[in-house]
Amino acid sequence: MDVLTLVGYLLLGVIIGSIFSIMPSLHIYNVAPIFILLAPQLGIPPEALIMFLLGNVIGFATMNTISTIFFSAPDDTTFLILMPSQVMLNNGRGFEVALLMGLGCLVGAIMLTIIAPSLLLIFPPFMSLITPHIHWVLALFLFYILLSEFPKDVGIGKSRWKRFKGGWRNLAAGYLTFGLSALMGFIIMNTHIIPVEAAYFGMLPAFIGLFAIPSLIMNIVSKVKIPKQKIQRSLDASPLDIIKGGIAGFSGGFFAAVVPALTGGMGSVIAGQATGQREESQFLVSIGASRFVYYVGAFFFLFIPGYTVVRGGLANLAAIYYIPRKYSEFYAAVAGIALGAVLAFTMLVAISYLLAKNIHKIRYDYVSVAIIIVLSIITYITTGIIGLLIMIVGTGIGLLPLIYGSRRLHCLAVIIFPLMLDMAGLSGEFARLLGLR
Amino acid sequence: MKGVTHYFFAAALASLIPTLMIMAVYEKSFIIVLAAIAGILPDYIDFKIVRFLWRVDEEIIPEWPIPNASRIAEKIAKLIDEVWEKKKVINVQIHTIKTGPSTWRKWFIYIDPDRQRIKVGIGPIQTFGGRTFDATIEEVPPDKRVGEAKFSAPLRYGYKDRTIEVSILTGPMVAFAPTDDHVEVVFLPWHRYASHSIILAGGLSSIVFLVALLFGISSFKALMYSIAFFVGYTSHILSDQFGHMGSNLFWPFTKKRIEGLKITESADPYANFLLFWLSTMILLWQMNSAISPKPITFPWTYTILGVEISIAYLLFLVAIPSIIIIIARVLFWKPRGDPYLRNLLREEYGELFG
Repeated sequence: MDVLTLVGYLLLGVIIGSIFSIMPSLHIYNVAPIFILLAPQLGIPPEALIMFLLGNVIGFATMNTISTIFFSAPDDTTFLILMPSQVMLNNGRGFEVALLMGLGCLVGAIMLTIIAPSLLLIFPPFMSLITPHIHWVLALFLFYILLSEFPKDVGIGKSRWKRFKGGWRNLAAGYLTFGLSALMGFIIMNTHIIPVEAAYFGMLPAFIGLFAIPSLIMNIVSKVKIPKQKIQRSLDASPLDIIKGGIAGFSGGFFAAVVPALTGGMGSVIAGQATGQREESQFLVSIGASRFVYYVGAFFFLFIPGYTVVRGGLANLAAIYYIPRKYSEFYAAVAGIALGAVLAFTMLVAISYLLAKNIHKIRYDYVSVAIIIVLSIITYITTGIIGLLIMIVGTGIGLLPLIYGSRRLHCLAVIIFPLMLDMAGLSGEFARLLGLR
Repeated sequence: MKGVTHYFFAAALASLIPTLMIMAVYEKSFIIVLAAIAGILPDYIDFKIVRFLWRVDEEIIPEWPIPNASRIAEKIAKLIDEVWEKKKVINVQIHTIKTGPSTWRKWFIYIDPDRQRIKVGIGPIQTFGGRTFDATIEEVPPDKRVGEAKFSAPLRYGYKDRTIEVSILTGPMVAFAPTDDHVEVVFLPWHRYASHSIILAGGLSSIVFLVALLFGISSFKALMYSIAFFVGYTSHILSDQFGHMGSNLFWPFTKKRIEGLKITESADPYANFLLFWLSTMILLWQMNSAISPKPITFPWTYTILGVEISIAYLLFLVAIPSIIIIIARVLFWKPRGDPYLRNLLREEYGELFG
């Protein structure tokens, strides 16, 4: 199959992926398996299918930011921008947030395409280097998240206890969120609580519960009214902001793409702190870049010829149908990322524009209720009643940081903690300690 | 230095001890993580425990929603004089002005020991991320935006920046401490006091050793855990010494902070990033060296005094990036301080503020 046809499949994948990704909390990883099943029946060869899927991921990485910005339904990479994006949306600047994040995606795409050829050389040995150390590297990140939260308030009053209580309110809530998320993740991954036939969607109810539904509930409770949005003709960000945000986001996203269990959001938090990022515009650009590099980069590793690198659920599934053999496919994917990112960005601008023009006319609480119903249906279809129960438990845990003002990042313990134990060979011992085995 | 820098620097230093890396790889130990945790612990103790337990004598709580700058200035000036007259230390907790879930109205205190004045300015609302909504300054009537008060006590202010910014999250604490001939301003009196002591590092490391023994770990490994902890903890204390504030290095034998070397500022993003980068490079090198056979063979590798060194690694991953960061600092680093407050101060104090 010639390169142009492959790129054509990729662009088609971007369009279809983008359309699905507007739906709040609908992860492309949950839709793409349907395409994988349909492909042989439609006579689509594996190399075209894989490009189509790459397009899906590009569309998702760029377009799914919309559900965070306009509907307050984030996922595990965009929950970090929820607070600044809500503040900006309430100030009529939702369109600007979309543009900044989209710009971040473009910067991520540019950097990814630039370094892509060098991946052929450095990636395989780097993987051999990181693998024996992965257990403590994960723990290093996990404990940093746990220890680096700052008290939000010192509390007013001369009594030491009163001040201690005031300061520790959010810290204690954060530690509780961390512990409960870790426990929930461990139980899901180490028991058969989710039926085997739904194993592919195993973490979906937990993610929806922890990250998406709590913000929607807060929208309903606080009766949010979105003001008329301004359509910005220029961005409140200097080229230096974009470069700094882009570099931080790229580093974080790339590291997260390489290291299993880390997510783009987490990577960019560390990268953002290391580069001393404070500006909101920089932060939004960095999350856009990080998210793009994390999702697209992780899937793109599958194209490295002679070395099957599988990162993420979709790559796992796609690897059954596709083994990279030719360098032409690798470079077609590189070209596809560049073109696909431009197409996805254009779609993001157009759809954000339409939403920004009309969002104030919509009853936000009704939209939030509707999204919760849709998410519950998705959870029920994919994982059944038990999935719904996990989603409810996850929602309870996910509400803690919102109520007490602690970090939502702690919720990521749901995936990192069990994987860290697994890689250190301690899962069995911990399961016995909990009475699970 | 910032928490993230301390954390990774501590891990990097611990990784330089070959036994610790061998334990991390071949025994699936988390010993490097222990060093990293110890690296962040001094600030954890200060910011999450000591600050709450430190005695508070007075609080500066700006009136809400519209603060009055003059009243705040008068209160601070009065406190300085009280310290001088009564010859007693007063710890003052200064509070932020919260205006929303993630917004605060920033304000500042400018201490002028030469003219014996305290100046207070009320600024606009800003978000946690630092975005300022300039127009919100109009919500504060002009007569309440800037206030000034005179004190008569001789005051010494030993810090570079005379402006104390009170913006987001929790406000700072300041102690006014009398000496024989002046009142000393001690910024964050609870910080870098007992927690940043090498003696405490030794004591805590001994506890780690004993706890490890209690858990049935062999004495050699318990010693390794203790060493990892000590290396991590002291790396924090010593790297902080490059800044201005310094630390009380030998508490409980000393009572005052020993001034820093003033080479950098703890909030300098470029200095932090440089140390973070170097730490990451040390970690990667050590991670590679700990595996046999090495996954990556770097060109131009030589063994000097029993230590393997790759000129290519040093040049391309250590020296050149470090030079780039230093050049970026020279070109782009702006001194700390908020532009709004800086302009306001310039208008009021002209060249005095500089």
